Amino acid sequence: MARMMIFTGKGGVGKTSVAAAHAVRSAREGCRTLLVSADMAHNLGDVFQTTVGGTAKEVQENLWLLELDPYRLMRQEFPNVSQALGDLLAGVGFAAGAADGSFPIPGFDTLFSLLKIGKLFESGEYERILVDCAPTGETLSLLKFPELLAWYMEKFYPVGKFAVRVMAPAARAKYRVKLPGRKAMNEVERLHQSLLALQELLKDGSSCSVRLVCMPEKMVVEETKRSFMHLSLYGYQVDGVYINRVLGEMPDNPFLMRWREIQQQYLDELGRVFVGYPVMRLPWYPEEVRGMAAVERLSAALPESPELFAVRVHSENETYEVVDGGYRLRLRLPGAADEVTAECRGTDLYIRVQNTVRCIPLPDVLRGAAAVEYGLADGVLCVAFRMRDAEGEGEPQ
Amino acid sequence: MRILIYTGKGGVGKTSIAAATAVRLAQLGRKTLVMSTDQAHSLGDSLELPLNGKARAVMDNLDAMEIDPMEEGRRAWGNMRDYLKEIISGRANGGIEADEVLLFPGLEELFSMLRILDFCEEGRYDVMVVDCAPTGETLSLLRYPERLSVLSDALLPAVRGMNNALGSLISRATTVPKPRDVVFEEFDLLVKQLDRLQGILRDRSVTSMRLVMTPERIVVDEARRSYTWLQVYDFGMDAVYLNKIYPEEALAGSFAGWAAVQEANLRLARESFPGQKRFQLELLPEELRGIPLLEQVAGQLYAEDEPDAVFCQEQAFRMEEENGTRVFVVRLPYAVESELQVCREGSDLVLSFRNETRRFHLPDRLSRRKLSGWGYENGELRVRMDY
Repeated sequence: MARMMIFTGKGGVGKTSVAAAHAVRSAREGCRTLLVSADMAHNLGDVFQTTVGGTAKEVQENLWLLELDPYRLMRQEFPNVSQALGDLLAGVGFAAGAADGSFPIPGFDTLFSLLKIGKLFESGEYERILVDCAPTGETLSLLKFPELLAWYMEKFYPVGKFAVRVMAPAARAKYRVKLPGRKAMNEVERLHQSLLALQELLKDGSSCSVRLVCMPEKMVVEETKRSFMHLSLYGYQVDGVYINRVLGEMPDNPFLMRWREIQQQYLDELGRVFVGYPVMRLPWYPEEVRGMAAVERLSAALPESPELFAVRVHSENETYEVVDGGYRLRLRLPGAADEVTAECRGTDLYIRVQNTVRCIPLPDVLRGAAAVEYGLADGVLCVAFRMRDAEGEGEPQ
Repeated sequence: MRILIYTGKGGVGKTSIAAATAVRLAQLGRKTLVMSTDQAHSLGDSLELPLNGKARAVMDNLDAMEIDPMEEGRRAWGNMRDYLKEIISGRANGGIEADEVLLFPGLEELFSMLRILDFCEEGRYDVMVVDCAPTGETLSLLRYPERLSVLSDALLPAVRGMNNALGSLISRATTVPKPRDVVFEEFDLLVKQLDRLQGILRDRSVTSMRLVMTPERIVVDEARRSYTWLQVYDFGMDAVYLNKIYPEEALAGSFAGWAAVQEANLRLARESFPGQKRFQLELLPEELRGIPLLEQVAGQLYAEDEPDAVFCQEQAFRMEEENGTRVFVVRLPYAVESELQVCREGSDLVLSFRNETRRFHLPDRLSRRKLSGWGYENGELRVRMDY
């Protein structure tokens, strides 16, 4: 069974370097390894100091590099959808907006890359596929899309077919809007099927997992917490977090030693959030990771194999239930005694079990909610949330 | 009225820079509002005062607020969202994921920016300093007003017409509920507001975008992409901030090697933002927090400059099309053709003349084209790009 690992994190935290370090280690172990970039701002070429393109390139024994171009993928795999989309947008005057090369619908670019990666995975050509994925925000909106798109498709697809048959001539004549043709609609259906398959693949925790890369800095920690919350919420298996750029002891540099103390509070916070998950710290080498020698150095700082590539299943994810007028969180806390307290602080829920504190970043819909009741039964903590009073509910009219 | 929008990727310190700028403006006697539209607010931390969705006075002439994107989202498109929810919650396993999925993070940021419009039309402040979400997301949002207004003009009447004629039929056939009129009205209002917002944001004498970055390769590269994007869409950008430059004492011992890396990235930044005012700030020995420290830093940062000046009025380049050939046009009023050199380096277009080098990160669509020729006339360099 092939193994897929998705490395994600904000741009600039070093996720490409960390993914590259894993790829080099994996290839050395004799596994056929593909390192693929789904980030629109590719920098695999930069890291390995070579040119990488849209076809896999073997850079050393067992190691292939690939940078995906979502435009080309979309045109190749779904030519009629691209055409229909283009027509539709041109019909309403959007064409000029394409000058920056952006996709008309945000998030779709990475989608086509991920569909391609799904195919590569199923081809069985590689034993390990390591994905260097777009910055967190975009990745997340994309990982949401399969859900949303599937919902829409299931609801609207029949409408779509109907609309094409009945309304297309009228739409064209009266509003100069060209609706997608039948070929395109068939492709939309195929796209929908591909998305469902992709979702299944990405959510199969036994072969695919997500690793978060971050740095011990305030804003990066905040963003990482939110990514972690979203990924868990949508059922993706997060099985490790890397804290990059941790400053070491430097007696000869008192200035940075002060920053080392500042880093400590963020390391502590990450520890509280990722309770029970492997947290790996990587030292800060004062160099940019470029060229094989630098990648090797980082690779040597990674934990030992084979644990490094193993799927580390974490079954204690929190689950949310919709209850009357609010939500309820259920969290397994095996072995916890009675002394549990739960409290909302800002965007997080703080749970104190005896002397340890666990911090759970809350979904956006619970922002500003209050934890009104909680109780522990059979090793499961239940927390009920009351939504903050929504003033102006229902809005006039 | 001036609107200064500070943007840049997470961790570069844009909130601190925005806060320091606001403090400075207040000291100079401008009625100033500083607001954060980021989901993960840190403006309150920066000022060391608790903030919320209501503007509060934090010092003479300075009010501050952290916008609640949820609240703004509900205000802007509550009815539309309810409609989507009706569609989605038809599925049994909707749950909290369904609710969460309807909080498109991008859209909420956009709706938060509508508050800029409110304050602008109210006219209570001289300057608004906006601490905005990370670059890529922010920028992709500024594109919507344009697109949405196209939608409302062309597509909406069409959809509405079809809805009236066929809506109930569709609902019966497919269980998609027919949207109520209020949904359309809300959309219409929203589009009008976004259109007005766009007008303000595009007015160079009112709004200036400012990019904050650190001297690290990936960060500078991202800023270069944003810069290109802002030029393509003709938004006014007038300054770049190079933040967290390692001072000499930080480059001691094992970090000595970082000096060369930092210098190379500073040079890249100098070459990549021609015409932009450049501000530089060193990494402090502590986190930049609290009004006294912000005042002190702003003093160093701005010295004699007034932070609300328009530092750059010109569009750095524009794109034209001639029979399928894309032409990249740069104004170079004082150049001499024989001294100009133009070449491609990866996805960059590099111009050199005399001792100056200018580097443009090409828009994605252009980066796959080849440089097929260039000419210089009427103070403009015209570079032709073809497949």
